[in-house]
Amino acid sequence: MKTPFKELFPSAVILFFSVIAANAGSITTNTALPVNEGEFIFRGQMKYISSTDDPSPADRELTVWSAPSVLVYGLTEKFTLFGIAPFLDKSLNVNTPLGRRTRGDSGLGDIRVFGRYTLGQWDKPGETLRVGSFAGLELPTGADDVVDSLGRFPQHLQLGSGSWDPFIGAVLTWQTLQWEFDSSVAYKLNTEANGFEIGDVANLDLSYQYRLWPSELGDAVPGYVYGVFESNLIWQDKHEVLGARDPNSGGTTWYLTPGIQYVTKRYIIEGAVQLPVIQDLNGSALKNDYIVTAGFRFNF
Amino acid sequence: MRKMQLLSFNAIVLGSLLLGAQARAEVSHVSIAVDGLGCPFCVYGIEKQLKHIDGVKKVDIELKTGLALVTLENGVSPNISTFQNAVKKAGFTPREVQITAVGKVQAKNDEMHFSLRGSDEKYLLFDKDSANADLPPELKGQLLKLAESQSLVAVTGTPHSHAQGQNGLSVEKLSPLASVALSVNGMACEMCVARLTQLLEEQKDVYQARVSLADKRAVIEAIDATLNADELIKTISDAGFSASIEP
Repeated sequence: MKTPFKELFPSAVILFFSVIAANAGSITTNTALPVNEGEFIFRGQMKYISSTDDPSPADRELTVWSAPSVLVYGLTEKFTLFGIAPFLDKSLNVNTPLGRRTRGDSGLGDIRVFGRYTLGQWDKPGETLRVGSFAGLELPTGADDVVDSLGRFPQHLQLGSGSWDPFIGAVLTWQTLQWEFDSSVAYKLNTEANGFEIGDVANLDLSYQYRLWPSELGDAVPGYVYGVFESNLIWQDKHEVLGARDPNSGGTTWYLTPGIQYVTKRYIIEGAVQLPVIQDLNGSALKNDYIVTAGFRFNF
Repeated sequence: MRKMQLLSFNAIVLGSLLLGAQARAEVSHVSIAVDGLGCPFCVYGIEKQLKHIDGVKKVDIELKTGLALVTLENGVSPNISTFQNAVKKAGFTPREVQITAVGKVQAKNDEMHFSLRGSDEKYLLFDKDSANADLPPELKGQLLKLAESQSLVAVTGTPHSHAQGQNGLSVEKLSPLASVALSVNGMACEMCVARLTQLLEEQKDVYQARVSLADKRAVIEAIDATLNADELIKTISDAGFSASIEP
């Protein structure tokens, strides 16, 4: 059924579904750094996503608060398990034939579980180069049938997709005592649910972290301050609604992401801002303004 | 190039067990060079794995040098491969392993041997840069003096299997053992002994404290450090006992 107004799925929203690293390294990308056998890492983040650049007369303003919680476990020194549970608060202001309305919901989104395996490892004193691969599944744990006075929420405003979506990827990390470089590629195959199929997503992420402080290393294990600069390139295919491709969905977005981290032996605190430099979206898809991320991690 | 094989201490452990509970080789520290370590957050995993090993008292890691220094409980006979496996389980690569062992030097047929205290195990001493047991004159002179005086010394070096099947230990460093002997009064039972031993071994630079209820005596040792007898006496006094320097 064609809705009287269009609430199109902003590409940026998929970012909080992105695979995120937990074991040191980058902020918005994955990493190949090891997790000790038997070790746990917990990561908490808070993301604020603002999307108000609407080319359509609907004048959509979408804000999303996302709080993904990540639990990591080192099953062996080469194989690591990840679980990501996002708490979401979505709110969309939009012009409707009935006037300007706010629609939204909050709660648990779709949980992701995946495993990462180290395929290769080249260690030197104070330096390591590693490559790994990962694969997993996004589970339909978020609500996908929320309604309000205007009817059922459009699929993209629901907390969950309702579908089982596999994903796969590869990571590379090159780390020295002074800097670290991470690169990650991933592909998520979104499947159909409720007559709606979100477009598949491909990610290419790069991250560079440089130790700003201390300038010289002394004895023991100091805390590091890293300056971080990342790049997130996201391509999304068009959605399908009841088998028909939505011309106002999908496209390519490129973010540049400056950030900062404080890294110690037991915990990390960090923050970053993702700024879209290119948004080549199809039709009247809603563009993203920026994404602010703050977070912490600790190991135990 | 010198072909080095890291020594497995299984033989030492087995030999020690056969000889009885008293004969336990005295190795105070194990240091492992770790490759692949680049940031603080990764250090925790190595620490956690090493601390799980029986007999490990303390683990200190230097990020800059990639060295993991393990302090052992008294009388522990370490198995080198156990430490290497712990580093691997943390996701890193172990390189050179060195031990610090306490014992006495003996001269025999122009060779210098090192006997670990508490064990019948002996090591043929090598210079760290040479492929055979020819020691440079300065080092040999130091070892001969130690052999003559039969003083206890801590030797830091890399254990390996010598070509002739002997256990070898390359000498990286010789550290004198300082000791202070105190008469102690007021101990009533073995619990007092255990409490006092733990208290003394927590003091700065103290390597080992041997406390005897029967002899009313405590011998406190330090490796490559100076002991302050007055501070040790105060520590014992604060614990509720009395002590004085033995004549």
